[in-house]
Amino acid sequence: MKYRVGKLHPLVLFAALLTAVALASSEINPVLSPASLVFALLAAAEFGFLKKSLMLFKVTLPFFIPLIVLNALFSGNGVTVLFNFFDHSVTLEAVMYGAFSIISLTAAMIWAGCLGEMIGPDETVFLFGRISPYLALIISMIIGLIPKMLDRMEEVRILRKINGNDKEKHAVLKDITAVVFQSLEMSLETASSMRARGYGVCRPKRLAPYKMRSYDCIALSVYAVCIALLIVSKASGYYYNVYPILSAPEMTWQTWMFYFAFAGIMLLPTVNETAQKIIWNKRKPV
Amino acid sequence: MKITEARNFSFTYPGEKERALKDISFSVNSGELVLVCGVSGSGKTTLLKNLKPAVAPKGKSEGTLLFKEENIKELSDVRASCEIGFCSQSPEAQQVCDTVYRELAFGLENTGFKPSETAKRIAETSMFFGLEKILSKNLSELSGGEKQIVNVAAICAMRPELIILDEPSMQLSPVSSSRLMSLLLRLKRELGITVIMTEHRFDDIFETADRVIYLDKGEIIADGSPREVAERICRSFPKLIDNLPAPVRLYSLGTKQEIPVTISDGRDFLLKNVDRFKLRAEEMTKAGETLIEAKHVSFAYDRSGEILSDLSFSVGRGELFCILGANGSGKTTLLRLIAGALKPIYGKIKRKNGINIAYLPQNVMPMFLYDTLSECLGDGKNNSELIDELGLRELLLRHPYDLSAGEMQRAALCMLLTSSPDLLLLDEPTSGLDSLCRDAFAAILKKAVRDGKAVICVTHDVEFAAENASRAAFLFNGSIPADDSRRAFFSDNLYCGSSVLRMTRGIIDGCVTLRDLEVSDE
Repeated sequence: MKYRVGKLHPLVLFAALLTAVALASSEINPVLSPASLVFALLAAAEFGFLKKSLMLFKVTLPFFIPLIVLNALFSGNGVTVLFNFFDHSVTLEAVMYGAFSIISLTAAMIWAGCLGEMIGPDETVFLFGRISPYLALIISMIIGLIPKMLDRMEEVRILRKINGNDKEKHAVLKDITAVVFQSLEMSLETASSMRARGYGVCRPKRLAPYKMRSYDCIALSVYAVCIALLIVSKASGYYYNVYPILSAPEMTWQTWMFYFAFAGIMLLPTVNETAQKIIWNKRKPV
Repeated sequence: MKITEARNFSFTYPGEKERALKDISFSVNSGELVLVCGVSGSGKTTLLKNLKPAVAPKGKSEGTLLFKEENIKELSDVRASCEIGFCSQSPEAQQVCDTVYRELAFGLENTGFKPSETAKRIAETSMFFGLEKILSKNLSELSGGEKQIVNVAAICAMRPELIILDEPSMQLSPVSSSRLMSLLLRLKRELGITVIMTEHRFDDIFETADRVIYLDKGEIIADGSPREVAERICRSFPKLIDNLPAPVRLYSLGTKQEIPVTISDGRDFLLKNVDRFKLRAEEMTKAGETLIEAKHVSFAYDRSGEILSDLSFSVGRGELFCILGANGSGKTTLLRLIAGALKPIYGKIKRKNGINIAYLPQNVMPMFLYDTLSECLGDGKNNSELIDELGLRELLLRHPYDLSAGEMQRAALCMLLTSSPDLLLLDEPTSGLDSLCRDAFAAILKKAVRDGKAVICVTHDVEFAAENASRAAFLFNGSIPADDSRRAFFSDNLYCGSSVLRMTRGIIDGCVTLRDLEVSDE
């Protein structure tokens, strides 16, 4: 099974990217929201996902103004009153929170897209196989079933079109019925095949085709340190939010620690990719 | 050593009065390749499934089935899974996972092998079967033949001593089928694995099998070497001769001499008796009104390459036009273009005004949307005569999916003929049919053609086309280089000829099927 040179182990990649999604969604403030977006775009550029990421802006941008307006109208938080709308005070903080929410949401979606791009079906099955081999099998079967179902739907649609039943009532429903009937019938044979090859005989031991390499261990160590720093800084009082008053962050050691750990987690996959490219260029066969 | 044995084994399906298997007794030695033959419904699949506990059908069984002298029902689950392998007809339906690698690993993972051992077995098996380059490929991207080879490899990864195959090449092209058979012979010869298989068409495997067991109505009527079985059938069960390979069928031409079994036997026989045989005059079909005319048609699904390229042909009433071609040559695409489901990129397809076209797909299952055949056929409102003609009357209350392949094909054809089409488009109609079912199906088509319909049939079943086409052509490189009448087309072929042609070439030139031969009395 071929694996791209220098790609992080699925566990490390999954942990890093999932944490990036979580951080991007949760840290909504003037410093970390734009930073999340920049780090996400950098990662997308490294992973070859930049074009699709920029398409995501088409999805989120239409919500930019509405979300700002809605948050300003319905949130009573914030102290800097811009104007009064009937009995409600529209504050600067509420407006800015709405804006930064959209930025954070876009960043989280780009990180999620990177996760989808880098964790393919094989890695997904491997990851879930660690929790439950049966769950891994179900995922593998679903991944296998989707193209089959699509092909069958297409065959049925063409059959209906040719045999003159195109304008039949509830034609699409009949197509779906035909595909489902056929799939159920074939699933009996699939079940037989599974039993014939020992399914249910004992708890399966799924293959682990991915090995931890030296760069995985380095990445994991960096990641673990960053998580620890995040926890320590939060536990020792780091807090920065738009509310109650929009202001510059207080640059205490906790803040520096949090920003350092934040950047470490967000940059980890990108830095690894860049480093692996440099290593490849130096070491590749001539 | 006996690997498997049946002692007075009988089997009855639930709710049935008639036994599906009646007092079957036989034994198979280690390393044998055993071919189980019989017409549809003779009990072949029932017998094979009972030899593998995990897939044995529910029902009442009497007698004993043994594996390495142990009762099959008392084998441990692990042994039954690993030591006896089972491969069924449908390459796609029996696959569980999404990639080749995972499919090979499935059985090993589920029977408690350590990951390191699993990886080692996969490495070894993929090398033997030549699958290294496609290990990470999705199974949906493979051809039918490749899928079936992966299925056999997945079974072999578990190192069975006995492999049971139920019509493994039913849905495969002749080339894929031949590749699969070569692999099975290699497993037998190089590794001593016992193979028990059934096939709906077994011309090629018949002569290479070590033993043949012939079933009829649940009983073994012949058991022995291919020659012994051929002789027994010919002398005692002449009605079943048509289900045997072409050389054996020479016996039905009235000879009372030694029964030829192999192609070379057939050639020897014809050489010795060449004076008794002559070529029958060909019945030339005159095409009626042109129903379809394709002129310089080109088609592609994307710009990277044309599937059909400057293709031209025409078909008229009263013609059964067979188009042969390899997998991926564009046969199905051509039918869809003719039917109007797709539009040519260049060129034109002219259809007669008001023409009624019906299309029989390769897989007819999606045509059946109701629980009984009667409902699918419109409760016999417009097609009562057709139902009787096609022998479907007794099957009306059954679920369509419970029908055999031949019955389903006839039922699907009935649904299409009910609408009185002018033109029938058939996509691999004989896939899954044994020789007798194929002949019955051909008879229906010929009647439709005599009634003034036209039939275009795309197939890689050379035997069917050689027997029944009025005209035939190759689809090659996106076009039809030339078409010709049945006899002229097939007698000119060297590699894609019927087994009769291979027997008669150079002896009685122009003979492509046995019905082309006239025999004088001895």
